[in-house]
Amino acid sequence: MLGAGEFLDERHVLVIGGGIAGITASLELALCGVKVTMLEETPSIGGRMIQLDKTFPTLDCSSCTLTPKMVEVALNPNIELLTLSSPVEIKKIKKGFNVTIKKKPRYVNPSLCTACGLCSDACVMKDRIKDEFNLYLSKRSAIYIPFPQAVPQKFLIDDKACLFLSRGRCKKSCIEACGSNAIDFNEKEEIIQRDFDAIIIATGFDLYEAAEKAEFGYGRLNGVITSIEFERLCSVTGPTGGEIVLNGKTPKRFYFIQCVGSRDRQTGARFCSRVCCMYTAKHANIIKDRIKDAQIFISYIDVRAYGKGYEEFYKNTQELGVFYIRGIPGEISKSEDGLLVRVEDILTNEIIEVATDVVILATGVRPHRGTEKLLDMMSVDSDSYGFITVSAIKSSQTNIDGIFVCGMASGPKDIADTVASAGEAAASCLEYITM
Amino acid sequence: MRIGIFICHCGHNIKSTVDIDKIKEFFTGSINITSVLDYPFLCSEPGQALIKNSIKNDKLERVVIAACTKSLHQDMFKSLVRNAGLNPFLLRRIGIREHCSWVGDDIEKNTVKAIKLIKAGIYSLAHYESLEEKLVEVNKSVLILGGGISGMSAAIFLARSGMEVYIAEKENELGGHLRHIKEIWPVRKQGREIIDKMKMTLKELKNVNIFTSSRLISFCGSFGNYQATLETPEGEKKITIGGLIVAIGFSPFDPSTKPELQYGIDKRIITTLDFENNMNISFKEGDRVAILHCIGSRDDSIGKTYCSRVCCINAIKTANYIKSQNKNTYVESFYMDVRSHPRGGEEFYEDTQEKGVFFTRANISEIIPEKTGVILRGEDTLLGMPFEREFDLVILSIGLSYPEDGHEIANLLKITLDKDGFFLEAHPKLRPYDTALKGIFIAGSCSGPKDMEESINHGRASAVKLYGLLNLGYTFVEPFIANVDTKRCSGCRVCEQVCVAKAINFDGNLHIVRVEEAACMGCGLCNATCPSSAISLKGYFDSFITDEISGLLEIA
Amino acid sequence: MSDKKEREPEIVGFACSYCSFKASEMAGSLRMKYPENVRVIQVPCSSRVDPAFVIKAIFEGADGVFVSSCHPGDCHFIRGNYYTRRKMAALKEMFKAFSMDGKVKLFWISAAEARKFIEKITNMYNELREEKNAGKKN
Repeated sequence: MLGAGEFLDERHVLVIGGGIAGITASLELALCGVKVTMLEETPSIGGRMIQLDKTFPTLDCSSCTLTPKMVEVALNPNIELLTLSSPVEIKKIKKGFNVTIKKKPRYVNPSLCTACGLCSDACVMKDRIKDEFNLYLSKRSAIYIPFPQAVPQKFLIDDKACLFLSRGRCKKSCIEACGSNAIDFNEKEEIIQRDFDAIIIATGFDLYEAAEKAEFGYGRLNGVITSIEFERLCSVTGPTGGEIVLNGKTPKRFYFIQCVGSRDRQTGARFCSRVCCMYTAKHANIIKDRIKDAQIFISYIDVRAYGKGYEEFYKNTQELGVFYIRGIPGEISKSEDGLLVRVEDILTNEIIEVATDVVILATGVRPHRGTEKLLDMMSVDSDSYGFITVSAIKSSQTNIDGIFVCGMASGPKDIADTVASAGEAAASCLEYITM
Repeated sequence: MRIGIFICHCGHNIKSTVDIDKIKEFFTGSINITSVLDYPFLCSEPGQALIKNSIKNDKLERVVIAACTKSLHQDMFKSLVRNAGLNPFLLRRIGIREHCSWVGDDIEKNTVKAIKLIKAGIYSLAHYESLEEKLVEVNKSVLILGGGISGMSAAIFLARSGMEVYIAEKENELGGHLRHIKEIWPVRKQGREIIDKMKMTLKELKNVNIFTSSRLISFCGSFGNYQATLETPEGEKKITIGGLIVAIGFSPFDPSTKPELQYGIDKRIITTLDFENNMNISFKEGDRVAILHCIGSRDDSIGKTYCSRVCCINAIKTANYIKSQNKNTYVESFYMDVRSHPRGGEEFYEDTQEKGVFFTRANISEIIPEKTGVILRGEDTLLGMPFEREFDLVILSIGLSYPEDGHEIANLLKITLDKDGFFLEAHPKLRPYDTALKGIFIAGSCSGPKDMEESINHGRASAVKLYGLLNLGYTFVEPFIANVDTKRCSGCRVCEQVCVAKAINFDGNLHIVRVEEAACMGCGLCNATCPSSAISLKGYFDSFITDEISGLLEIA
Repeated sequence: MSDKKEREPEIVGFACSYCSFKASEMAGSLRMKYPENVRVIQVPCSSRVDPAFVIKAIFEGADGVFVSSCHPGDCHFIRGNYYTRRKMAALKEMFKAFSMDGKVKLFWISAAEARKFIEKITNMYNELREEKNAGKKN
């Protein structure tokens, strides 16, 4: 047990995932004196939350609440942050684990890079590579920073997009532009081996692939987008600088469809994704705030406004003039001036056709891709959807002693529930490593 | 004096309703203003680097950050300034977001206001002096109010981590509401079973002091050194603790407060809790049972507009149970929205429907007990048709209301309640179990309805956070303490009379007063009362405030 | 020579850190709007407010001054707001003698009462605005 004489600073925990769950768990552990190594497979921590413009129900600026925590992680002396890193082998040793970590090369020396951005400006592939952070709605260079508030605040080279790294030939204008000599094309992948006393899985989630629901026309019809794409359109760091503009025009009519890929046996997800009712209401609020004469419809099955302040937020959204239609549309088609949504309004029993400029699909959540492989590596059990199985009494405990889970990796949750689950995981982890 | 002004756009939160360029224009080149810089997100890493570098390179002596309100990220900005080599108390935060850009629509007027707020801040800041935070020892002990699932979860963690733990429970045994739940979903265990196991664990841990049939009657002090008095059956118990977790739970909604529900008037109308306590009701073939959702929630008429989060699952569980007891019963649930969102909830809902339970989206307008049965009248909102049906039993799925002792505890601890009587958290997203006061946490349903898993999570998460705050054995406290100018003090002792913390003592030899620093709470009442301007509150001197007033009212 | 344009009153308010200032921050988070000419000064406790500050504000041109505090019994500093009440009562008496009692107000606002905060200051603003434009001599 913990207590006087227990040297917590000799304990070392691995946290896999740098989203709000991983960040919260790491900071709690670090505050208690435990050494933490955080692995993040993308170039920056922040996860999904940093892609959000605002959070419900307070309509707080997401970055404003998250970036200070991201910086705290970077500055905390007890936390070692390894980005572009993921585990490739995990072996159980006595009470802990020996983990082999693969660290992909950044091709930019972090101790020299000042994040000035001149390399990106000079890159021959400038504005030619689809930007994944903005859901491919904008383009970037081969040498880039994922978003302005990235932690670590360093650039990196996309080796698949970079001409020199993928084809061996480029005039390397980036090297010329860099005033700090930070670019290093010779950087190699690193293999790091470490022993850890425990592991916390915080790998988060991905969104459902909307194209699978062919009847909604995503990928086929112009004007059908997903919620996360809409979120990027609203964000000041997004492809349009926060202006809700699609195809060069400001849409006036919006149609949201809830439960895309949730509560749907057909898509293999019977579960409720728990956040979409609220984030859609949030989107409706954002639109009403920025586009004065916007017309908004939301198709739903049940509105899950269950959290603190959620019901009031939902009610308020309705009072703003947003129309909630019970019933999911059967068909979306192209019309003369936009799109036509055909839906049976169950409350009036009529089939109606709603003309709209944009259709936004509130896609459900799925366990982060790549989690399956990771769980295999550790023999951690998951349910039929791929979420890690846990009990309601010990919601961070997996079937393997010493491996814990928090956040969406163990099932859909909103940010507040994620933070609480991460705190619980830190508590359980602390108990384990000091027993 | 070299003052640096940093203006944050906060994405578009400030930029869209305040003309930042005009603000920059106004202050650039002014006397004593060395630099005026702006940035999209000052709290981000590059934003922070901008501030740090400017402090170092421009040799700033004072820093103004015009951005979000002071309560947010204060520790972070103070650390930043300190790391740049400047005393963190030479920083002035101006909340041009919460107090300007977010509360006004007119860009021109907002910009004028922002300029005045910043100017006032600068006038005040010019008088600031360096201060040092004090190191204070903290007690590695915790008081947990409430011995339900949340409180016990917190207690177990803290006791295991070596803290001295006190639990105050008003009932004569630990366990809270879970004692009355026969089968908890989804774990399919008896509430008693779970509670008893935790009680055993607590018994085996040393440094756990359990006080049942006890209440908190007084509370004072500051983080790390709180003094609490408990009233126990053995008399009063005074304890000194480092922190406290409020886990006093909730009160089940009492449907007798809505007479139209006929609860307490007719025996055939019961609550889900009554059903839980009396689950050996046997169901006959053909029995007709109605289950009503949202009783005591989402109801404007009783002022409870919130959702109680757990009652839909509770209702489904009840319906499922009845159908399992006798498949030839007629069970119909009346709802507004089915909130079966928890893990496994959707599947449970579907399975219950497949078992033959009917779910009807409806507004119930009347409950009429008749000899042959209880008649429910309402409107089916999906079919758009009114209906009238008779039932043998009506079960009300009641919601969760605020804890009845909430007001009393809030008063004692000086923490706030929200509009529904639940405790208010510091931030609904990132600090759901913190309060505004350091070292005091709120866990479980006392801050809002929660199920068992969530209550345990909040309990243990608060516990680990409190452990992190106390485990070093010391903390730093802000130096906002009263200070006596011995040359001005006439020894009139008026300040001593009014001092709320009894922190002022008279020195008979020198005929002046002295401040007992450890006891001073930093309210500033003495400063406002002193007729000689002899005693001042550090960090809030008269000059800081009078010049701020001038700055706000000066015609630009 | 009459000034046709409506004149806007200027209001300065003092809000205590633990209750009223928090309410003003919450009002901001909830995007509740109030007149731009109302500006808030943060004090640790409303008892920090010296009556001289109120008078100074009036001297410097404020049309109205408010002090906003925790509800009686809820003060974080235990009794600070009781002293505030007494001081403000005395101040109001003095102002009354000069027919200026509408210029000084005391509010009890807890940290969760953002809406009440907005209502109180907006009402005060409207009252003073009416007065200011009715040509009433002060």
